[in-house]
Amino acid sequence: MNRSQEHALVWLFLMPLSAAIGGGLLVGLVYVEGPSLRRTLIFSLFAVWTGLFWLWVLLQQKMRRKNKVTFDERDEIIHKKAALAGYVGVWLYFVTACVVPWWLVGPKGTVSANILPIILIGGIIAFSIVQSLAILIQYGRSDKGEKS
Amino acid sequence: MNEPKAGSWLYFFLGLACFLIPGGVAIFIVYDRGISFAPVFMFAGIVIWGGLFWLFPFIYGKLGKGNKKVTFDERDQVIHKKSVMVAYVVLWLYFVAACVITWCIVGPRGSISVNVMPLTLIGGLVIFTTVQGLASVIQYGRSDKGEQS
Repeated sequence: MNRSQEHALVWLFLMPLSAAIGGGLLVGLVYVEGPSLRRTLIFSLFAVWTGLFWLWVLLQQKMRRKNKVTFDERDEIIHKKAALAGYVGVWLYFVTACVVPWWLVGPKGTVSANILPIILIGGIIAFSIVQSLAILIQYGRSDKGEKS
Repeated sequence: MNEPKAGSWLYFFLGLACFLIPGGVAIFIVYDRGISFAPVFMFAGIVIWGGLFWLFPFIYGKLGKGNKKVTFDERDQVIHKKSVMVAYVVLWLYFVAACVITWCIVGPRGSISVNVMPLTLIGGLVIFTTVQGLASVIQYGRSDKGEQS
């Protein structure tokens, strides 16, 4: 198992868990103690960071110029394809998350404003699961002799 | 101007109208006449089709591999992939902004009209299409470099 596979396997469990716990705590805190600029800013940064983390992985590898190659062109293609697959997953999730309450509540109904950050957290979870799975599937389940 | 470049200009202007107008009409029909299967299905179809339309050139390129005339080569694929990724980044930032700003304005104990949700989705589609079209056009360059369609 190479380094990218290990990372994908860790992210598959860690990212949804941290998004659910971290995001849930922030939403809960705002609900209990009321909104403040600091909490809202932290939540926004959290959502941007976790949602665009795949970009950081690509940028980091471009900036790192070491003799030992740990992230080659094949890894880059796999990561980009996985990000696009994650995008497909997150778009389908957003369509479902927006259309289903609209259908259930009806066009004249109202929903709690807390549903919006919760949908966002769900988007992070959907993206990270699809992206990590896409990486693992593209590398293949069995080891092909790569070394981390 | 080659075929993909002409396609991105067309997508930039026509794509918006093709997704924005029917999507808006579907939301209006549901608001005016109440919820029913046909407009909701139409809305979901438009939004899924519009949001995943960028997959079409890849599928079309793969299906037309046997053709002698190459209209979508590796360079076009790289440009297309990059513009989708840029559009996705902007779309994510838009969703974060739309959700957090509404949440902040209304407050955690407040409630919003459920129509905000399909409208946010349509807004996302407009932003995605605009950014993707712009990114493609910028990457191809404004001037013609001798490509033929």
